[in-house]
Amino acid sequence: MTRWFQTAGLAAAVMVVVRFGRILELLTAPSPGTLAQALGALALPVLAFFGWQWSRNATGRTQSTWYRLARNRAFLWGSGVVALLCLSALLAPVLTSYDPNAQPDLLGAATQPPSLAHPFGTDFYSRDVMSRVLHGARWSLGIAVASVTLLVLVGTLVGLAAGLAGGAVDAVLMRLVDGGLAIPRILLLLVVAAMWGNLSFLALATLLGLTSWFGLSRIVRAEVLSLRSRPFVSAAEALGVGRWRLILRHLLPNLAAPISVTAALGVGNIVLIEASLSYLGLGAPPPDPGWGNIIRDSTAIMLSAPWVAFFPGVAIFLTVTGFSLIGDSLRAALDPQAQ
Amino acid sequence: MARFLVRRLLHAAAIVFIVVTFAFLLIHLAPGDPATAQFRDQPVSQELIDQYRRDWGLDQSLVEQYFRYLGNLLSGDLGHSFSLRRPVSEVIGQALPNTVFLAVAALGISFAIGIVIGTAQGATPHSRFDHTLTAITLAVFSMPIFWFGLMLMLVFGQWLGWFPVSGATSPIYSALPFFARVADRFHHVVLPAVTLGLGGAAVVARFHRAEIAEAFSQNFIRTARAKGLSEREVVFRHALRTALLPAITMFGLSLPVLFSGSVLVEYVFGWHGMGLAAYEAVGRRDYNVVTAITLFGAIMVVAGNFLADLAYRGVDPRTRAT
Repeated sequence: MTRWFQTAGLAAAVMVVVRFGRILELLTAPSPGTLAQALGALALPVLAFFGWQWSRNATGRTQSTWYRLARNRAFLWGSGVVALLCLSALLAPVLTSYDPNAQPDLLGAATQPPSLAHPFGTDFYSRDVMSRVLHGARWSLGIAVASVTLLVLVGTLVGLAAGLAGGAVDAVLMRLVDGGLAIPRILLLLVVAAMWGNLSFLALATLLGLTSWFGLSRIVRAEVLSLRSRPFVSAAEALGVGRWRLILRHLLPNLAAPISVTAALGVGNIVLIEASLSYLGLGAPPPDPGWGNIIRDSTAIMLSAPWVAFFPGVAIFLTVTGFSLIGDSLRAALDPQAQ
Repeated sequence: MARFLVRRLLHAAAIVFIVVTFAFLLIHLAPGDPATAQFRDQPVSQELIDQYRRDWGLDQSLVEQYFRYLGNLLSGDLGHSFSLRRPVSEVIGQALPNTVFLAVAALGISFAIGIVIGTAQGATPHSRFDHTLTAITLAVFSMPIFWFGLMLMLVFGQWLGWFPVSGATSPIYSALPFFARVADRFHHVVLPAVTLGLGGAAVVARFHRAEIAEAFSQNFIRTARAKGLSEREVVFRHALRTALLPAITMFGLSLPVLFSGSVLVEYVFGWHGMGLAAYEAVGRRDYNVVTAITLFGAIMVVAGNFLADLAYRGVDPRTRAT
């Protein structure tokens, strides 16, 4: 863990030095958004230093879940990759000087292979691919985080309702879940996205969230049923604890493990699904970049300019791997029996 | 057994019914209908559009249309494809063989590679070899399938020129003699099947590794070793046999995943199967084709689950008690 923060601090310091000119440029720009990003870039090495100091103390408590996670190499790699991706999404304008949608020279600068000026090359419209991939992270990661939030909320609520109410409510909810799981997901999304036309960020996130909670609600329901047969929950019920107190104090803490694992894996999963939808033509509204539609835009020139499709694919791959590593190590850390 | 069968079949029918209803509502409530999609960008009069709606019953209320659709469905009529001007059953009949061919090839790859890797890993748990393969399977599992397909296309189709880049057959297919036709089909299926199959192989390997490792911790393996059997025999005769049982379940459960993946893979490789048909039908608001393919996908899920249960009961006597 200490090593993690050391590396992060060093990388942040190098970034500040290398991109100092750009940071100054953003600092003097009139927009408050760019100002915040420039200040954020400057603050990163300092934050990493404090993180390093803190982690030296925190890793002492050997029995905690946190300790088990901090010792887990898979978790450190996964969270490192995810942190890197999130930061590059937040600091995209600091890391690159190009506007992701600008088409500076349609004739002279189109489909150029990677070079020092354009590390990821340029696409058919002479746009800088690195800038598009970095800015595309905002769309792709943002959608994933927003829809996983919705997934967790709906999945947990439905699972709790089915598990606690039992009887007819349970039967109806679980048949709905069966139906939801039986519909080919990509087809369902395709139908909705195509028929309602260009979807905004919020609409797409809602759509993805509302079609992903079926699995979680099943897990939560099973867990609730098994918890209710345990003595501490029967005791609480016998003592006349209210329904909400039972949920908040006794059930939810014990549901944290499956929910957090599902959430971590869910982010990667939704990044994949969103990219697939975008690739089929139903993603970020053009010309805004998302990882999936950068690849879609490049299919016509795929064979002559493969770098355009290559780099966003690597970004998706890194995101999914990072979140899978986090999810797997969370599962191992939260459930000692699984080891 | 008979009661189990009846209960499961009723359950399956209920799920399929829910899916059909849901798909029907979703598609019909969306803005636009086949008439508007049909005559988009064409200078046709409102009367013609109204006539078209009347002819195909699109002017009736949603409830009427729904019950008419259900009635037709029960008598085996999937309806008419508006954009292709043919019965839906014909459209599906044409797309299905391509999809089945691709799916069988991909399933073969998934299970052959997945079980070999999983067994090798499970037999040497926590070795360097095991960790390397775990990393590789995780990596394959994390790649977007369409991107993986594009990269394979680039490397093996364009740069090395080993396989054709797209389509299910060559342009000269119909002029070829029989054996050359078979060879041509297999030549074309390699890249899409590998794209679709390797992701599945990663899942099968991860699952199978755990099963083999679990089998190794059991007493009968200790007995086998104590009898003085060679490690080979212990792995193949004892551990693998037990661990193959759950793999049967995987087989049933991977049918639907294959179906979803095939939409993307068929699109990437221009493979004219169900997935591509569905994609095209969605764009043309072709209600009946979309509902029929959704229905088909749902039946695959339900049938996969059902067959997995059934096969499992067949091979493992312990599950018959309930």
